[in-house]
Amino acid sequence: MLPLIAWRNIWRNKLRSAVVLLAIALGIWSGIFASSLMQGVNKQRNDGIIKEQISHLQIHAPGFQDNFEVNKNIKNPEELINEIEKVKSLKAYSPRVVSGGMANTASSGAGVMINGVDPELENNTIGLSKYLVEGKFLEGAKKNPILIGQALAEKLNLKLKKKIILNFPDKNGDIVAAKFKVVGIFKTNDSRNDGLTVYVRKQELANLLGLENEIHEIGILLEEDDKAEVVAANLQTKFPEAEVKSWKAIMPGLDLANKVAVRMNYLLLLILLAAMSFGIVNTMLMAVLERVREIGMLMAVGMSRRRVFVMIMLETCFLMLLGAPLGMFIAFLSIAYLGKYGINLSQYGEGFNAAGIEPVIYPSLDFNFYLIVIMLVLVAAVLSSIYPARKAISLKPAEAIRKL
Amino acid sequence: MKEIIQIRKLNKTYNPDTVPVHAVRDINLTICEGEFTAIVGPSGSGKSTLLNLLGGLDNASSGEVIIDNTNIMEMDENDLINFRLQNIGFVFQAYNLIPVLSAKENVEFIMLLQDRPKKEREERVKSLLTAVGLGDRLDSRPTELSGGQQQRVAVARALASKPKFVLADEPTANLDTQSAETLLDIMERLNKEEGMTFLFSTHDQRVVNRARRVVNLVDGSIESDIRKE
Repeated sequence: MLPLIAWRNIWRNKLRSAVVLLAIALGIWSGIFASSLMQGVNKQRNDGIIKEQISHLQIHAPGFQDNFEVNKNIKNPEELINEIEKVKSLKAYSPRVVSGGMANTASSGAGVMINGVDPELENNTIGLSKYLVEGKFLEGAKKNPILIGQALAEKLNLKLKKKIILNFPDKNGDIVAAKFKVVGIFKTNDSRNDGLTVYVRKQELANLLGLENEIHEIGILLEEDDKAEVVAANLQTKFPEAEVKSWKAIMPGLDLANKVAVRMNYLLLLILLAAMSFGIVNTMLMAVLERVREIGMLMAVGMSRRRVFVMIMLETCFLMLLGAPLGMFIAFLSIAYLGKYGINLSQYGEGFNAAGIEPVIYPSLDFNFYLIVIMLVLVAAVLSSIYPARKAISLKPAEAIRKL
Repeated sequence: MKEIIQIRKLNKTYNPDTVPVHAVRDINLTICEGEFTAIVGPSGSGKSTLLNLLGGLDNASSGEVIIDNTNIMEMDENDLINFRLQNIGFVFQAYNLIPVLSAKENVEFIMLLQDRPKKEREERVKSLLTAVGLGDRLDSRPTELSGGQQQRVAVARALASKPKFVLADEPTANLDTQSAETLLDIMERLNKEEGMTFLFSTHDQRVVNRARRVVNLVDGSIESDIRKE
């Protein structure tokens, strides 16, 4: 009968209970929704960087990334590529010839990373064609077409079909100057990358560098993010002379940001739950103080202190367990809806692009987070019931019965 | 008759270290099974304090309250709660029913605390509420009952645990004449027919008139103890 009494007790003051339930639901909703926003932004940022820039895995000759030296390359990569094609979760791969250099026009110049790519393989791997704002993906010029980012185009005052001179060292250390024709301009969500990276045809760049069958980098895109470590380890075992890195090793900051974001989510939730718990303690304390005589009577007629404690605890838990699922359900619906249609923050687009984030945010949340919320709510419910319940059992029946 | 309550040299002093108030002084009293006793006296004479001490709701400053060979003054709080549950029925001046439970549930609640089987509970609830004239109001909540009816539910609740005696603190104080008479009729009948021992604290003349023993308290001491024939 204790659960029945506790259940009915919480509806004695319907308005107060409704306000508390609403406060709990709103608190839980805001905690979960804010977390889903943070996770959504993070996921988009991850996806953007992994799927449009670095890929899940990169393979280089050891030390190449230290100073992008032309001669630190992968020779005869066919065997390696054959092995990559056997990877079960492989989505796409792209062999690249890479060089750091200067891009010059008549009026200006800028440091760039020159990626020599096979257009089809590269597009399958980083999907750049969807970010083309002008022109085509390395088509439209018989010789030396180049694809540049909008940020670079603006910086160098370049337009489609204009010429650009790239200077870079060849395999002998001599500076090569080559003229390229702008055939396409792209704009991704990362304006910093747009101002730095240019794409040319792999064979043309290899010829200019004096390379034959060598490449500098293979970018590999997998079906799932979390397969990267295993695939990297397998390939590394098979090709110990190469340097195989997963996205976590390529960009440790990205993984760190993910971990920090997860911890921030939990911290936010804990703060909200703590705030809610104080509200609930206050409400339950009021409920106990309003029922001093009744609680005194219960103890007078033989209800043990343990049972009184459990009754108050149940009342508190019922409030939490009604409000929290309501908040979780509203959060689930909002995340499902906005996860599909997104929250358009284009008016702040520049800031997002500078941070490499798409201005339309799609909230998303792991199912596990909901389970953790349930556990934390249960803990908060039990903890917040302790003080009011202790207050209730500290009453002396003879005194309590006389209270008005 | 069997003695069920023995009070020996019972004293209760409030604020013993500051301004001592001697609510109960050196009381010796024996209550026998089947008695219908009223403890009377003016306000502040110690009636309620004495009843609280008898019910184990308060601690004495000195003395003994022996119920069924057990000195309840020596029991700890948890044992006392269980002792009250098994041995004493309470009726309070302000009824003190659980407002969220129906009449039936209020009575059944005590037996649930005693872990009585469901069948026994259901039968006893029905028979008790019928005995107090509320057989047709089993599902009514306290707010749907008059004061007299609530107090009758309280009597049924007090009897539900099959106590050795019932302590009733000013049970008629909040009732109109008709309700008070009905309540007293019921308690008198339960006393005569079932031998239930009742001990009232009251200054209601209607209760005094019905009582077969009247203990008069003045300033915490027994001034007279009269058994009516």
